Amino acid sequence: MTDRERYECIDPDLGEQLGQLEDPATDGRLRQRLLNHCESCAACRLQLEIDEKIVAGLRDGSLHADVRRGSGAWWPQILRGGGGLAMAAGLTLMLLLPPGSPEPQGVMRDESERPVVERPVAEEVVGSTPTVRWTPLEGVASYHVTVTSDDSSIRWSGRTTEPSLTIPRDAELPLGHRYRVLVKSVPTHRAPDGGLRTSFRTGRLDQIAVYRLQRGAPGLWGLVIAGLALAIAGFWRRRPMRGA
Amino acid sequence: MRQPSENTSSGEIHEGIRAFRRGDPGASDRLMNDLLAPIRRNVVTFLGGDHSDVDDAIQDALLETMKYLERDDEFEGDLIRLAVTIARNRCRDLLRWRQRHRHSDYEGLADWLSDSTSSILEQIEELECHRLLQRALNRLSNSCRNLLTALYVDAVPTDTMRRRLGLGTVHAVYYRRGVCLRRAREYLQDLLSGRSIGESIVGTDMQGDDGHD
Repeated sequence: MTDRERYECIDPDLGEQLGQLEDPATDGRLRQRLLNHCESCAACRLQLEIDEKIVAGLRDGSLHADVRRGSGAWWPQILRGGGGLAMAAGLTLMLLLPPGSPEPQGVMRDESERPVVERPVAEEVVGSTPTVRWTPLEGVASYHVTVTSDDSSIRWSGRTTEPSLTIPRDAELPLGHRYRVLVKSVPTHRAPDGGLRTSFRTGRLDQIAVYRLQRGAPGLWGLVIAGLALAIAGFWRRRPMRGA
Repeated sequence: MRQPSENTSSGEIHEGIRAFRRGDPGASDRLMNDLLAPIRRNVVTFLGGDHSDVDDAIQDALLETMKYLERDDEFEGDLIRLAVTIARNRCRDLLRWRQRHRHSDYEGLADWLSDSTSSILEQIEELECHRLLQRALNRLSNSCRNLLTALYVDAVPTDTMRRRLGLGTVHAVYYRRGVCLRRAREYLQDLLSGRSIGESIVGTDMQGDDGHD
């Protein structure tokens, strides 16, 4: 039914009061005026017929307005809820789990045991006091860790007997720089190639988040996309067919 | 008789209405004469000048307008607007009738026509009407649905509903009921015009028909 096909109320000021027909307290004169009006007004007649059908349907139980029964199909809500949860879980895991290394994953069998700097992974974006962690080496008395900015203007070093070291707060690394890490063992020959190396960048929380999302595991991205698809399916409803 | 006027003032029209109500001879003709031109213009615009029902529609609208004046002795609104709206509604009826009842050869249908039981088509129409009404109801807010359920399913007295809703008068309950039914009608019209978001007149039910089970 297009607007051109819709009936118009012939006396809208009176038609507005049509609902008062139901009210027993309505003045008899107004009631009669409304009934007279409906005799000539197709719009109000239709309105009354629809109202009567709805009321009759509700009374005889063929129609229902019960919130519990008529609140709609349950599955769109399940889809929306499940999809939202899947998206949230995927994004949270991406932010919390260590990012993947951008280096090729195809490590040769004889290199799989090769000691490496485990965190930060190469080119990872981290905060100003990152923890550097590496593969423990056998027969090593201590490690000497050096962090140097690309332009060598910033340099920090520390010593530890554990296979990890956190940059202390009093030596916070300025944000927005790229740093190289060199972990040397004592004695030096225990570490291959003169030491373990990696590089990282420092950045704000949002930059860290973006980096982690970019490096998110494909499986987690799959979870997010699947969740998004489910949520969209939950919100999406069939478009009406024109002219039907 | 005066010539049909395009420029009859509302004052003249109202004077004509008063004369008509007083029973002045010729007042009816004068009013119809004043209404004829705007009615004709609208009917021709609506149906097209060469439509065979133009004269009937004009005549129907004129007579219905005069009947309205006879019945409602308090009417003080815009008579031309009222007459034109009656005419336009009449045109809608005619067009809808033409759409639904294209030329049919009635010979051979005598048995079917004399059958007083509802036809399959009528039953389908009834079902479709029922489905649309249910969908319109499903789109109402919870408060509206609760109100309608309470009034018409649980038969809660209006005064009890007034207290439940914290309203001052019973009239306010009827007002709310009227608002809820108006919303249902609006949803229904949206459904019929295919403008509803997420609801289709035909096709898979996404919401609402679950309640029939």
